[in-house]
Amino acid sequence: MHTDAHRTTGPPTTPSAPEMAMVPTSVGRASREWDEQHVDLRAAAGQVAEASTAGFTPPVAHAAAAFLDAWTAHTAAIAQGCEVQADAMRAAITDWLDRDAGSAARGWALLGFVEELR
Amino acid sequence: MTAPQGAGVPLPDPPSVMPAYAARAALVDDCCTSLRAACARLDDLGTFTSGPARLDDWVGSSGDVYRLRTRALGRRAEAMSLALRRVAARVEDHAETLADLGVLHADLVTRSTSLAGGIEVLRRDVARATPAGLASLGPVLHARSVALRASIADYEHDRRRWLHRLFEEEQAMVAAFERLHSMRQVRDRFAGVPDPADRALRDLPAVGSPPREALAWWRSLSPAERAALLVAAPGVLGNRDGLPVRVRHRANEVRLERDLAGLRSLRERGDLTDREKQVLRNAEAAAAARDEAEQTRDPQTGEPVPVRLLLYDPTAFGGDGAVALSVGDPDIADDISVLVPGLGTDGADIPGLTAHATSVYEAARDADPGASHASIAWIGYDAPDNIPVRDGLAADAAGVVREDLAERGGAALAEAVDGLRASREGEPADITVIGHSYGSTTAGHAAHDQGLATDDLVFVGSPGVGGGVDDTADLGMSSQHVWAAANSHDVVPHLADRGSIDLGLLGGIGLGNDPAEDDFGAIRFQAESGSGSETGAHSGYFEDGSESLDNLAHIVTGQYGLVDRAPGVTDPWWGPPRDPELGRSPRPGSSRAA
Repeated sequence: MHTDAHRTTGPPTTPSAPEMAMVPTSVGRASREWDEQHVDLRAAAGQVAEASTAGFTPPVAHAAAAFLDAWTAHTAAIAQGCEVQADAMRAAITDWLDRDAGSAARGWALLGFVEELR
Repeated sequence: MTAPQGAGVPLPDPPSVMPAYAARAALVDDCCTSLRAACARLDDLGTFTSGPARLDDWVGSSGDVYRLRTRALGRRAEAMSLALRRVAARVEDHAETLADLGVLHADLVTRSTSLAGGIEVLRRDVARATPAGLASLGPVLHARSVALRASIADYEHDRRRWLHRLFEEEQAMVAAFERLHSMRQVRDRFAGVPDPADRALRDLPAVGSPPREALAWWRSLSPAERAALLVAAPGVLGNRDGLPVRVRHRANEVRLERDLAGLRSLRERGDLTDREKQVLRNAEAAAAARDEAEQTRDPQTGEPVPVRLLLYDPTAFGGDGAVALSVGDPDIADDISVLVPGLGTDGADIPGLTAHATSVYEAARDADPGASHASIAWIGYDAPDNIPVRDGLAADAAGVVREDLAERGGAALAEAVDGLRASREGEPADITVIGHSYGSTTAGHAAHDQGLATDDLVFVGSPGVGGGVDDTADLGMSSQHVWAAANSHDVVPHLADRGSIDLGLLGGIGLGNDPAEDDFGAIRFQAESGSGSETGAHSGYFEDGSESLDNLAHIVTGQYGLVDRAPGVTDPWWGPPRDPELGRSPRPGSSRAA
């Protein structure tokens, strides 16, 4: 649940400076979900890699194997993209903790989001 | 044509040999399922990026950059999903074509062998004929040669056509793989293309609507929408009563393979939560049961028996899991049996129940080889976890079993049977519901509360068929179609109400009347076994070679006259219940193990 207690703004906004605000807990939770996506898609890449071409006739089996190789890489790449996204969010929380003048209690509450669980 | 032989009878040239056919359609189909399971993951990412990942409350340049990246990943995932499902659909078609070609190949090989044999016989006959005999036999032999030549020409024509079809199919499949090989090809073709699944899901009938509405919805969809839904919403399709079983099977296979891949990957990393361990246990049990059932060969034809995963939700019932497997195809079978298990059953128990379903399938096919059969192991309700009976005593105090789960299970069972009926296109099947143990209480509630649409209802080892059911009339069925089996050594039927005893009035712990009692009105059939133990007697009703299984086979195939009937339990007011079956030696069964 997002509450005002969690909300903290960054540097004061001016007409010429963009507003900077985040809800660290929601960013932290979302980073965990990106981690889940990363794990799931990495498993999907493994699944494509392990899909059998044994049932195809020889003229097709070669094309099938090449296709599966390519899609293993495509899927692994998008899985990697999810991990990059999760890492970037954790970095954002770390920055916020480093810069923010918020209370130590709030900082402790967020530390769990800084580490990658999966 | 070879040189003219004796009396000018020409021998035809031998037919061309058929090339070896290496394709295995089932494995190609497995490849399709793997692709769809991966697709489902990509689809999940697309859904995530357009929903919970948006983080609209993160404002400022960092939030903008985050959303920009999120949208880019989402669009990429959606395009990839659309592309991969396109290829998966083509692979599915390829598998079907390969299966067709396999059948034709076998036929052509037979014809080739037969024609070669015909030439050899003709050659011998010509060689054996004496000059005098040839004068009279010549025209006959000549006619045979002409007929053979014509048959060989037909064969050669069909062989060429077969080779051409195989070649074209291979070319098309290769082209499908190559058209969507690179990410550039994927983007060019699918970037920004709307997902056909979205519109289809908007029109999905609400949960709880009649199965026929779900079927009407499915039939209204385009082929593209159907293919999209298999990936985008396998859980919705797989567990929706009323959809064709073949569709449910495909959807559940996608979900199962997705679960297995994801959870096994986590297990390898040592990252599984307790909840995920439970889901994986259910998924692996479903996969094991399916794999085991797929080894079944029809006892009459020797052909593999189709296996259908028609229910799969490993997270249902607080993690106990729901799963149903059919041995045989319920969409086309003449007769269907539905096995409803009892106490302590959860999703991880599907291998054992499927073994029972396989036994019923084989016994039914032996009993009536002219009728096709499908036997369903159905774990579609939340059975009580605790077993109130231990070593013959009602000893497990925590396991007091009430009827609420049977009531809810009865509603689910009735809907499942309605769904089986709705999804069939041809003649309706004869359906027999077989409730074992607490499953008989569930089946009783399905009949009494919900008007279960079954032709025959069998209670096996029943602890009672539910409150409010005094006799077969309360089930809304003719007494000629309600059956009961109670091994005299089985202690569980003793838990049921008999005579004037009503356990329902004694703290609400009773489960209703004993269907094997004479005044209930069901037809009791013989179900004795060699096992002297109560637990063995209670679990042995589906054992190969048992008289119980024999009788079940005759019931599910509608051969009522062959069922060995047994006198009902009596309960005179002046004494304890009396079971006339007690002490009778079981007769040797005629089912497979016997």
